[in-house]
Amino acid sequence: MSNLEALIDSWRAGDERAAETIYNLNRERAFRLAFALLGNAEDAEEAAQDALTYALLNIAQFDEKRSKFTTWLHMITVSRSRDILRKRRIPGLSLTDWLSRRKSHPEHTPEPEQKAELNETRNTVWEAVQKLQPMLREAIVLRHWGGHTYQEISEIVGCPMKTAQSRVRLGYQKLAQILAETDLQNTMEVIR
Amino acid sequence: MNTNHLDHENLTGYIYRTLDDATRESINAHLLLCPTCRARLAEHEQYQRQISNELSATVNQAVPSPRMSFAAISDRLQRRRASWSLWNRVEVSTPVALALAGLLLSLVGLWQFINLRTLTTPSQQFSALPTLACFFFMLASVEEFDKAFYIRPRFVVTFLVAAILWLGTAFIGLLNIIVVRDLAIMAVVAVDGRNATAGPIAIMAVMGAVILYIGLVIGAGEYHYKNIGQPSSWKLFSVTLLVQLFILILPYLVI
Repeated sequence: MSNLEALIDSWRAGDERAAETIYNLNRERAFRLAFALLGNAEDAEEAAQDALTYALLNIAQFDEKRSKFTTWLHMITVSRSRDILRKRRIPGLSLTDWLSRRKSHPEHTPEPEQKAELNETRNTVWEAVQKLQPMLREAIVLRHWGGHTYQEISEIVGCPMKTAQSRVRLGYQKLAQILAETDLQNTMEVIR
Repeated sequence: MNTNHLDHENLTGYIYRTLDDATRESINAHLLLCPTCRARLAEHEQYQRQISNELSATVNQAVPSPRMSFAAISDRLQRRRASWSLWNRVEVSTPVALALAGLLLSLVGLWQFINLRTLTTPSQQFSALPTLACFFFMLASVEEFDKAFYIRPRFVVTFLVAAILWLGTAFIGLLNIIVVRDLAIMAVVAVDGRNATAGPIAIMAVMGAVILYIGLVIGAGEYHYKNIGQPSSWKLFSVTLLVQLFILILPYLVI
């Protein structure tokens, strides 16, 4: 029995310290997956915290015979991240927002330190990944960052394995296309 | 395969190991003879590694803020833990019992409906049983709520179901207003004994209910719109239906 399995059993038996250890072991990974999918630290924290809370509260539903704990947690994290992406897509049509907009509220802006951190972490591949369609981004992130197998990707995103394979391939092709366009633009700028 | 160069599909499929064995074998054979394709494959492999490395480098730099901590969720876990130990068995068996009760009531209601032609008394034609059955089903679904939400359905499906539920609750709300009016009349007649005062009281009750109804339809509509597909939105639908069904069967309980 692995260390994580033993911790899961302890948490099932009611040991809260085991829950804390499970949380701390998976905190950064869940956050990073959400960050890669959402491209934003604040939203990523919301998605990851929600996913970890759900996983710990519903640990009874986790079936170790069917999947690994990380696969299960990533499945929940992907689902929570999709919710946030959907929220972003819905136009902000709201009566209460309209009423509250009349009172002056300062817009949320990242702290200078956060800004610097975000700028530092940006690179071309990252920006290209953020331009991908959400389902292709999920496939690319799970394969290239998560190192998941196609079987695991299909479980996490909830599609047949062949579809998971096609998404990874298509994601790569799109990514290569975006990167080639970016390269061309950069070259053009240099020439000018 | 040996005369033509590998196309983009086959190259990416080869790198990602998504091709069947026969195609893979044939590509292997081609690669042995074709330096151009070997070079292209090496380029793709290099590119793929670059993607993995740069993506991982960026993502692994990201660190959650101290706000995201176990302490922030431990209260919720403790509360749930307490309910596990105390009510674990009750929690598991309650939804099943409620759903069975709902099923039984709906079957009795169905039996009554089938025999409707033979019934002559008007009061027997308007049974509360189907509503009561729905009430029990809703109770069962609310009980089960937090347990199956780690996978969300497709957005279109979610949107349609939410829209239907919102329209449905708005319609049942109108029926609730009629029930509130009837209850107000019944209450006035029971207290006062005269029918004359019932009219104005009923109008006031209807006006109050209509104002509340408009507020709730708009407020809940906005809430569902903002939280579409979230467990909190589904739960609010369930609770709304529960309350609405309860109001519908109130006259039967009062009588």
